[in-house]
Amino acid sequence: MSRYFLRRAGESLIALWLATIVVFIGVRSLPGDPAIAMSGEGREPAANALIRQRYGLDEPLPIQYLRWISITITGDLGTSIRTGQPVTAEILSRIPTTLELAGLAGLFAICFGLPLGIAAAVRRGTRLDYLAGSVGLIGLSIPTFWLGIVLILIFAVWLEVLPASGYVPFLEDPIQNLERMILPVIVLGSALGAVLLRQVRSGMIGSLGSDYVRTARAKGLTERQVVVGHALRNSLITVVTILGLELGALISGSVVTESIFLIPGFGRLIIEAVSRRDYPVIQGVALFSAVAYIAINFGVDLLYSYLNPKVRMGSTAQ
Amino acid sequence: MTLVTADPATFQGKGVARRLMSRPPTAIGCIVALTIIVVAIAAPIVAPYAPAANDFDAILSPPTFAHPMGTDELGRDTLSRAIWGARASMLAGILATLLAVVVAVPIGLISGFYRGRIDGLTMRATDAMLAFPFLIVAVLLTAILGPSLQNAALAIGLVQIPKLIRITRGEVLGLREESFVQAAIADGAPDRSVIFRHILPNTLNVLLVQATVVLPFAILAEATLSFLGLGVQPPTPSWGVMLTAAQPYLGTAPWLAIAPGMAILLTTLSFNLVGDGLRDVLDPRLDR
Repeated sequence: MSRYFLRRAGESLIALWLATIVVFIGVRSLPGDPAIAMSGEGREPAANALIRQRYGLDEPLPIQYLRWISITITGDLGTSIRTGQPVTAEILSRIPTTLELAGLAGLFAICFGLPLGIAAAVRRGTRLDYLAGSVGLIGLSIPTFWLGIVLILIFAVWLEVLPASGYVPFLEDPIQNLERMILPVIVLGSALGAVLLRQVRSGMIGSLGSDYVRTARAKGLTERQVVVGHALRNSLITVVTILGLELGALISGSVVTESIFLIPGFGRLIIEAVSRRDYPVIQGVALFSAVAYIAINFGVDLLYSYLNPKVRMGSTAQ
Repeated sequence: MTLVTADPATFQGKGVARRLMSRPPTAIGCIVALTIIVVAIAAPIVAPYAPAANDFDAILSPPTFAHPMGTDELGRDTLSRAIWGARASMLAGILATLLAVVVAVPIGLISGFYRGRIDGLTMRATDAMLAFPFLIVAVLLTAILGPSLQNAALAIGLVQIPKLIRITRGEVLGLREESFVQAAIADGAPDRSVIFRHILPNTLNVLLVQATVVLPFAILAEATLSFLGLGVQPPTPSWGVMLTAAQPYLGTAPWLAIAPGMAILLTTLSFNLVGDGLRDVLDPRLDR
């Protein structure tokens, strides 16, 4: 275990380091001279030169990178051009909202993808299986933002049972908060649920036909014991894997969902930063999402290796 | 003299097509997908109106005989704009898929064939690329290059590259150990010939299946980026742009959101159906 842990930790650190380089180069390639942006248009060239010197912008790129990374590593991502607030504080203030949205969406996806996937596999070839297959395919094909618009149209405009958009903090009014979260959670969670459904189904079909399930049946276990005790355990591995793999899609999806439902989360911060050309925020957001993504994937891999010992054993052979 | 070895590289085009069309969902998917492609190409002939033609007597008109899907706030025909929008989606989807395949496949081939240090480097690089969620990359690229159809396609293709590299590499790693490849190497065939004549043809099935996964994703992604204002710019008709424009009129003119949304759904659904069918037919390991 420790060897696998160290190997994955090393790989994560390298990925992290490469990610900082990508962000650094990416932001340095943004159009416009940062010195002019800071001093304002039409200033003396001498003033711009002074700013360049002061912020080290006249130094070679590797030196600039080292300077930048040594500040960044302390958690200082600069200040937003627009609001003058520290970027780290801006990001942290948006995270709880997005975590709530993504967490509930993940829960929703598991609640509908896992049972439906299992049922489809157990009753393979029946009407239920075809129904689950259709639900999975439509969930995969439907555009997130269109689903959002259609749900708003049905539940907010026509039936008038749910609010169309907006956000109320959970601590302020839990009931209003959850009421406003219902549609966004369905929108964000449905694609993930569809992926889960399809993967759980094919994984389950594979394990139901495998030797150990045949052995369990031969031992005289009931079908229920076979499904729940043996095949289901393998499906949980699938769930963990998919959640890890689809994390990026969940982050991307939250950008869209928060835009439709006007939720002031991390995803909306990204769009705001780009439309206002707030470069320090863009840089901070890109870096933060890469760090979060790598860290969570690392955690998922550890959990995965705990659930499936084959991963640890095979790790050196790969 | 060359050794004669059993090389399984076979792509039986005719047999595959017949087996695909014998499955009702796949056949429907193929027909719908082909129809959409034809409509996109023939948009100037098929669309009843020009995409920017205003009918000021029919502003925000509900579906009528003259405008079967209604009109928007500028009196433009929704159906015609949705038909023209197919072009942007198809173009972005195909450009992105081509970019991903052209860049990723050679890297995957080399990485899997030579293994060792090149492979390690490639894998760490793909790790770093995979660390950025798709929309973050797209957003950064748009900030650098400016929003347009080409840049959206570039961003979408770029995100697919690391995944495709890994899939190609995985295939090559397995194929490299097969006896027909080992025989070719033992026979003294140059690396290039082994890679292109023995390994690449045997990865085509898997790559074709992957391409059918990437294409609907790319179409959906283009619509998403345009919806967020990061892709195709108005007044060029695109499904994503049309949906953004429809949002303020949801209460009064819901038909504006129906046509482009259904168009996206039909397109991605049909391509996914084709992809599912191709995978079942071409990839024997995925016996489902």
